[in-house]
Amino acid sequence: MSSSLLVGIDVGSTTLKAVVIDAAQDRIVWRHYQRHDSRQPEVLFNFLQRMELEAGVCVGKSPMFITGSGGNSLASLIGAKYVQEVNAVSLAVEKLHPEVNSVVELGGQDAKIIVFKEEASGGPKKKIPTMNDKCAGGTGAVIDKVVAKLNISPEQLRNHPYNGVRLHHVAGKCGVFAETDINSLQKQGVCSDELMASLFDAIVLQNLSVLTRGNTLRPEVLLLGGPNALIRGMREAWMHNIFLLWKERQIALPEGRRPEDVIKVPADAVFYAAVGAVEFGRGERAETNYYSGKESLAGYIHSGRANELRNGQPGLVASSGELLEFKRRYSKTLFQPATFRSGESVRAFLGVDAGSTSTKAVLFSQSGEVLCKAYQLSCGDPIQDTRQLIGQLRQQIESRQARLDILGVGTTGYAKDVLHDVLCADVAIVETVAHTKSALHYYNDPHCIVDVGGQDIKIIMLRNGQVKDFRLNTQCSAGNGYFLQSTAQAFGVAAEDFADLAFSAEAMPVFGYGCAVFLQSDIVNFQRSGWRPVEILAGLAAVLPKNIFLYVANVPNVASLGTRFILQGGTQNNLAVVKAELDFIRSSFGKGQIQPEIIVHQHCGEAGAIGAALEAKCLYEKGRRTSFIGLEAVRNVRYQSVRSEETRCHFCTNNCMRTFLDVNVASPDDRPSSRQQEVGKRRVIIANCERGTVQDVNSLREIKAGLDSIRAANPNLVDRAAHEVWKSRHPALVRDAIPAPNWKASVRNRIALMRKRTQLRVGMPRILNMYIYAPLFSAYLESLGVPAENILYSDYTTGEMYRAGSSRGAIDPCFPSKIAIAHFHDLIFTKHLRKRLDCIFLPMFDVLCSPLVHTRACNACPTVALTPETVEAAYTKEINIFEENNIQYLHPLVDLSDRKLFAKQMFDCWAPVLGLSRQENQRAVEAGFEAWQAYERGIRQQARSALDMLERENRLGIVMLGRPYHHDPGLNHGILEEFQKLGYPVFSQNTLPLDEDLLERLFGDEVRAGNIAHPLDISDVWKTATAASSNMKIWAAKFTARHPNLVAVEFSSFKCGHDAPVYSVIERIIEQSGTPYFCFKDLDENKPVASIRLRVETIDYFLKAYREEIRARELSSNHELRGYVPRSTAQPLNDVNDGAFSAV
Amino acid sequence: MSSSLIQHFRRPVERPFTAEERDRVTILFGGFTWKHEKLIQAAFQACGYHCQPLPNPKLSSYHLGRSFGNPGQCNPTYFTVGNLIQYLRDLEARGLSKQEILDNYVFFTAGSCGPCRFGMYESEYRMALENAGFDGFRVLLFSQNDGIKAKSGEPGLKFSVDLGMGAMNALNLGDIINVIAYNLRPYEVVPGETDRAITWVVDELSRLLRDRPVFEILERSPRWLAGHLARNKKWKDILNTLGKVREHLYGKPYRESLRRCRARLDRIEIDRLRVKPIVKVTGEFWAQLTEGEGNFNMFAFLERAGAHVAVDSIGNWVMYLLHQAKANARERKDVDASYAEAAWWQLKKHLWNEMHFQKKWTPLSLGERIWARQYQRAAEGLGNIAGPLLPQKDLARLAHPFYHSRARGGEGHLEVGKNVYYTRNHLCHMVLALKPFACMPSSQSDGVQSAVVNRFPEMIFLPIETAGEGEINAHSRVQMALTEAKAKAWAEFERCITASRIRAEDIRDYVSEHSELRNPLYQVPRHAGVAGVAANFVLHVARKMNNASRKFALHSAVQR
Repeated sequence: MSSSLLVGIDVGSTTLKAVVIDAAQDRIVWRHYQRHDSRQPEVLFNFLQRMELEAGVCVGKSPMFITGSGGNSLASLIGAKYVQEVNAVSLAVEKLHPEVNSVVELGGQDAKIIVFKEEASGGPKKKIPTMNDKCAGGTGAVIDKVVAKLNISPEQLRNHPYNGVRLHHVAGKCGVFAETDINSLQKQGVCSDELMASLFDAIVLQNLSVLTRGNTLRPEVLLLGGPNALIRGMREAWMHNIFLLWKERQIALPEGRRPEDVIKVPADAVFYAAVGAVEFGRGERAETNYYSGKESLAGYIHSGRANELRNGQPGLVASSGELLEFKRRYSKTLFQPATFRSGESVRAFLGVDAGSTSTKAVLFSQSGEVLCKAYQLSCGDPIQDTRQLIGQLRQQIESRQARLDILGVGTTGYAKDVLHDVLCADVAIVETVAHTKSALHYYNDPHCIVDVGGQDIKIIMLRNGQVKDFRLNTQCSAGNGYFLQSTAQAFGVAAEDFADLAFSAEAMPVFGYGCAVFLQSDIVNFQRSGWRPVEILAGLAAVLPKNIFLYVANVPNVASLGTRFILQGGTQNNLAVVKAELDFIRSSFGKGQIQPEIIVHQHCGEAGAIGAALEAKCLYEKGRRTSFIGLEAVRNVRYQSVRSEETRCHFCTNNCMRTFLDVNVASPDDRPSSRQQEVGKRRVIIANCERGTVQDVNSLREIKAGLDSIRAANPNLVDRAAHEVWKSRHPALVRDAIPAPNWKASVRNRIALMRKRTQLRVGMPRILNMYIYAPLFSAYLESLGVPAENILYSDYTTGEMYRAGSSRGAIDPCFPSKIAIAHFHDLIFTKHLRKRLDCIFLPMFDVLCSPLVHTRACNACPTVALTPETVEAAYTKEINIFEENNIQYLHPLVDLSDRKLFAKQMFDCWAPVLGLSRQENQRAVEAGFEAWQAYERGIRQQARSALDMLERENRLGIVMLGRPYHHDPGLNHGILEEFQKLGYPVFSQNTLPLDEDLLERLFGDEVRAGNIAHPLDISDVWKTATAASSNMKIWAAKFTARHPNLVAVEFSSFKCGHDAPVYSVIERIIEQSGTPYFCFKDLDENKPVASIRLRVETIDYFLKAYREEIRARELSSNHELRGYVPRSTAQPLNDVNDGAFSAV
Repeated sequence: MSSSLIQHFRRPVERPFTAEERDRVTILFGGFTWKHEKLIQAAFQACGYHCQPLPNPKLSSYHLGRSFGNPGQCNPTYFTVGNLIQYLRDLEARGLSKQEILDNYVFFTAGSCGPCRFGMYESEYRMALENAGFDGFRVLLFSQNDGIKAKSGEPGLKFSVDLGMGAMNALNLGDIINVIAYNLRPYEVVPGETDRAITWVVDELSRLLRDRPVFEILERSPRWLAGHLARNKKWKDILNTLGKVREHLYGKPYRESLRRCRARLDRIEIDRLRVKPIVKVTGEFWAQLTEGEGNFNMFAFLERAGAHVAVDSIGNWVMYLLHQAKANARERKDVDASYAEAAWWQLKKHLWNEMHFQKKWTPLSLGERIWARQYQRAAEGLGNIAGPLLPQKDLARLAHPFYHSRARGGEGHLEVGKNVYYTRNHLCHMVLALKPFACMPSSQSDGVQSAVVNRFPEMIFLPIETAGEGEINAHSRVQMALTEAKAKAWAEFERCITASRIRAEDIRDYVSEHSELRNPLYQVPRHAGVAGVAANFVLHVARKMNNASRKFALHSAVQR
């Protein structure tokens, strides 16, 4: 009887599942599972067809229920009732597994967690369902992206293990962050097993720290959804981490059950949502929905979908005429390699660009032409890639019976250093420089080079052939070129067909520019709204220029960049992208007389490799002879990569993992004499820092001595502040004498509390504004008699600390706030367990102190201010962990700008703990402020000495425009140390000297002119000065802009709400003065080593050129006063070199 | 030589809005519901200003705003500034030159000195406008001096009693009408009838606010007194102010207009027996108020999905600000006391301290009372369908154990307070908090809510981050919680039916026989522990039916 058949369909973001249940027997009689490749309606149509034939589902008779992220839009077409997926899953679980208390379902784009809680009052369990929001971080989508990148087959993926595999730090928060980390690890030689296991671990951690909203996943736990059901490693990762959690939280297992038995993955886990949809239907009060047939769905597939389109925009081309004209101008003629005569000796320079997603190589002639080129997608091993490419180049020449003679070798790209060491190349140059050289070689006076590669976007601005500025994408917009490619791949579209298909779309959805993960979510949403793949591809091409110019460059007025644009990078081979860029750039110029000239680099994909070859050529022309190991040696080179416990570096407490690359150049080339030293076995060490590049202690000593001398010559004030702020200032005791006992209980109580002060142990987390105000609070306590050694701080932020302690989190704020929960974990579960803590203190900073004048307010950021409340919620929601550990949690709201109010707030907080009198409280507050001011004075004095040194030696220093918490080495990712090692002293906005004579020099004229009322006034540049750190950042930007020996590097954490409104003003202040400005935005939990290195190296190149420029100007000008040089009157850089960057 | 030779960056000089421009300059504003905006526009027009609300922001506004603004802002900013840029572009397309637009239009927005980045958005708007080619377009704040009190000459916008009272009435009436619309629409028998009635009511009240005769004491008083007052400015001003206030709040045109509106609303037929979960919407100010793509069309979606939306009022926000000012004054009482160390017997010093405190405290308390009273009067005038403003003291008390009630930024403790208040008092079945993606105070509030939810097992709470995109995902998540809320509403309804011991069909029959029960102005008492409209209605009707049957039984017995 077909009427007794109930149908449940689950339309997920990547797969479609369906069950037919015999209502009478309550048994599944038909089921099917299939990936839909974004063709949900088509696959559903096929399912319905089969259901009718194979299971006897009848139109008008079979009740039908549909669920899943794509179910809602299809429900009405087939007469089904839509059921929300979390509800469906929970119903299925309640029916099939009443014993289960937690469910984790990972889908393609969605992650859901359902916690069932027994009520104390009895009755049915309370359901706490959570589901990821817009961001698809921590879901199967992240796995898909990485699997595609690592080229792992579905079968391999199923069996990828987790247990027993070495883990590395990978950010699971977001697909782009994860991909960036994976890229970085892959380049270090980490094998795919370890990468995948690390990814599984990251996904689990992300879900535990955010999606559980702080609830413990209590036994029994059910793991559902495709990734959990199908991937062994994913299941193992869940089990491992949930067991750890149970152990830590002392969760008892049901009697007689082993841990392995209470985390279950049912055999038919993927069908639970579909089964649940049917369950929902059974309990539905309203009329039952019966299957209405496939006709409407068929109509929708063939024509209806187009009518549904909403909020779209016209396609990339308005007419075929426009397309023809565009193609006429921009279609590239196929590259024809040079012709080689038989027996000819082809003398050429080899350039290799080992990028994140592909490797490119060119042979460049002495006369400056590309002879031949080769390209291939990266297999994850840059040496292997390069060997193959060099083989291809040789083949092109040797197939004509000619002979290749390499005159010089240049490398660039992510793997440039490894290749440089292995090939004994002549030069390794950073990508930005390589791309600039290439563009300058081919095109006269470009104003803006737009390089869009697989992973990176680079925008290089030039004037008179000299680089004036550049922008690189942060990790958050990473993956743009590759993103287009992988999306096309997901739609079953070959990369070479992308443009033509995109041009065929008459309309397209409007994507919001920005993060690739959001674009990914948008794709799913647009598909649900009925947009076809070709239209989505067109929309993605259209959003790319917005990502380039608005998100990466942050230049809404593109016309301000100049009129000659060079588009290069592999992604520019896609004409749809070029068309979108063309339209975007032109729209900025309006219909005026001045129109931009937009040129696509004739070798856009190989521009980087050409730049590297050009650099090698340049060296050759200066007389250098190549150290290249030779073509035969390349062919025969053998190498072995080892990354294990044996390769771990123990030269510092970080104990970083290293990769040893044992290279054996067994067969020397035909001219061994000059290269004899490269022949034989060598070890190339890939390490995170200089110390790791050696193995023996003597070499280490040499390196360390070198580093120490660099550090001494280039003080890093950020690092010093980060360490000195926690030191005791040893304030004088200001406590009252212990009163004589009397009959009053209050006095007796006070005496007891006062006597306890010397034993009191106070913990403080090393986070947020404590990076400035710790001396105030420690001195306050010390002056009242709490011994300095009894004030304990949590450790500095590390990845391990975050991993160990973040699982109680319920939200996903900026990382500096999110890490607070892990610091408390460190205090409670490490410090306290070692030796008891009586209380933990973290004030809620409401208003901060500021040296600035005439600001509207001096507010702390609300995220920072309220972090102590979210921490309390995390540690008290299930059980009160403070109480359990006998720790008092003190988190008063404090206003540091009003000393009287602050004293009251401190008294209210501490009097019950310390037995304070108001008078001694007042004295302690004064002692606290004195200590804090002494710390501030001390660090600013050190900064002044460093600045004086810079002026004396006429060198450049870097000012980190970042918040106090960016002093935390775990938050600034050691970027500033890299600059220090390159020879730049480092300051921060909170350590800049405030000496009157200095301020007079920098701001005196403006004060006298009436532009500002005081050197510490920012009202001339910023009106809405309400946020303390933002105000300080703006002032520090003004300081930097006016000091000739300083340049600015802005730091900002992902999701920083107070930084965002001042991005532009900071940039304008700095750049209008002609001072170089750089930024590291979207800093977060992960440390994108490769991306950081690229930026640091580029900035270093840029600053060296800038220094040369200043020196040149100094020589040519008569300015004498203390080396001050007006930047805005800059002359073009003396022609000391042939390239924009090569002043170095 | 010094660095002064360099032309350092300076923010552009702002151009004031002066009195001479008043006749030709149009004040643009936005960010409220269309009901509020139409009434505010009328209040401004009554005082002689050209005033134009911006259209409801669309997704395209958001994209436009993002193109010209700094990255990483919260989406209300992008929606607002994108909407403004789109409007100005439309003006340009209609033939106005850039200069004409700069000369003849200003944008008014609210300002803040609080810790939330909202306070910095005035600069953000200016920058985005500059990037969009409207360099120098005036963005003025209601709370700042430069716009209101022009640096030179008479200010373009001058606060007067008529403007202040008109604006207060506009906000209160807008709030009440908005609440009425959401309270009636889910139960209307004829689809669309509520919207038609609300449109009529808004038009009527706009006419009232715009066209009401302006009270002038010299015109209203007898000739002998007018002559006397004309010579005595101080008394004339005092009496004129009092007269204006009275006229605005108690005048005949006002009362008559409310009566007409009440009559129009009364024509909507409603069916209170529809079981609908009440979803209280809280969250960030803009996200919880806007009706459109700015919050994923959430209100319309909720109603389509079968919910009764309990919207919030701007009045609650005003009361929150006043309450916080009082709380801060209380916190500072001892700190600011002239005689902080006064001993207990030094009564004079204590009195002095108290007087000093009351100088701050009393006006705030008075303001609170006046606003709440006037809101309540207007609500009663419109049929008493909208409930009273929320008790701020209770909200702070309930929230404080989780979220410090004096912590500033965004909605402060309000989100937590409302969640607990509505749940504990059984005023809704579910609380939905709407907030922009990465909203700083709201995100932290959500962190706290995770503990709140654990403390109140019956609570259904869902936070949703709004952004430009992701509407379908957001709707799905709302459906997830709404299903639970529906079940809760049905369970409550069935409990009430059981308790009433009358069958649902009998109740329905009774209601169909008594037309007054289908009247929207009919007052159904709330029963303790019962949230749903249908559940409360069932209990009420059952009591009426029982009373009727008792009377019938008594009547029969007497007759027997």
